[in-house]
Amino acid sequence: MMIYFNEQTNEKLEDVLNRLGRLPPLPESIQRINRMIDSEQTTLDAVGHEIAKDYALSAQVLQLINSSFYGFSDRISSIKQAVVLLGLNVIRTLTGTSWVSEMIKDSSKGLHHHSLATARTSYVLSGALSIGEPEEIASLGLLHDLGKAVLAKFLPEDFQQVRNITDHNNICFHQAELEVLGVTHAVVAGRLLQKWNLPERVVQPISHHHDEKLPDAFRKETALLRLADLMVRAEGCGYVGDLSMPDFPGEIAEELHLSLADLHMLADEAYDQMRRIPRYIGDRAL
Amino acid sequence: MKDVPIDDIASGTILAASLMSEKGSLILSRGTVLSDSILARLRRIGVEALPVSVNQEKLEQERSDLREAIEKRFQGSERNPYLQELKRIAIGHLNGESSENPTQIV
Repeated sequence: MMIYFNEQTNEKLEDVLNRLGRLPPLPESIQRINRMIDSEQTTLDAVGHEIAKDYALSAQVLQLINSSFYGFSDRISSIKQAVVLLGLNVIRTLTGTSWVSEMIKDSSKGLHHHSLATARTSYVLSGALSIGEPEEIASLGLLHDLGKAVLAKFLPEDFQQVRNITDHNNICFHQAELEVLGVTHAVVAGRLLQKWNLPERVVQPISHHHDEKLPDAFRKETALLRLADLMVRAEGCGYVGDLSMPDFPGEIAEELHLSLADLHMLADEAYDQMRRIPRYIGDRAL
Repeated sequence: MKDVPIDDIASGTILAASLMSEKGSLILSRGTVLSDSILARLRRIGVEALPVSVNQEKLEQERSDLREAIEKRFQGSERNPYLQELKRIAIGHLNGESSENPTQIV
């Protein structure tokens, strides 16, 4: 199902966004860091220092990058090192991600599990296919279903209506959303992430991860995110609110230059990462 | 006996082989009943999986449920070669095929 950005869709999106009411703004501490990064006179040291001043934020960012969260070896152990190794643009994404991802964590265990698995899979794909910076691409996976968490919390009745459809039909969540709300969680998440100043290279792939066709901008990143989502769903890792697989158009494999053999190899690698996610976070089975 | 991820082990399960540290000292001996507090302590020192005897019947049932879920998930995707490949891969993983065994003991 193609999502057209026509006026009707826009109207429905505005309606949903209005009904979402007043979502919290990006915390002042993160806004300050963003302003510093945007200013021309800033230095790596100054930004690192500013993040390190906020204990909770620096812990969250390091947790995002390192083993306790994504489950990778301790490549980076200090904010200073993170700033130097990843660069200011990636750091900017990660501070935003660390804050936004809390909403998914608070939403449902199954959705959080699916998001973590998609983050790890995106990380694996980013490295293997040389697309983007793995730590930042992992953010795509972590945040891609943010829209579902927000709809569940702020529009519970509509969310339940969508669930009723997916529970009784062989239909994907985003298709049922189009029937009930007229827009998908992908588009809703895109708009919110934009509002919270996440960069377009994060916003666009998330916004378009349920379009029928790959968008013109950020094609590779969008293809990667869709592949990661498909791989995680195929394994039944976590819970996404439906019981059927979305489409896997040949366009995705072409964009990423993947043969079926490549797909198999990458899926094995991703699966090894998925099974390391602690079981208590959520159930693997639906 | 099988190495089972520590998060899948319920308290009361019996350890099927003695657990040694890298330096060779005994951490837990075979036959120890794994309580919640022992499991928590093992997690803290980084143990990811443990050798325990598994209930075959329960395992088979779980596997057949998961297999059914996979069939259901991929219903209607018979003509898409990529989805069919993902399905084959998922079934392979369910049957224990994987490129690498992540089990690590201390």
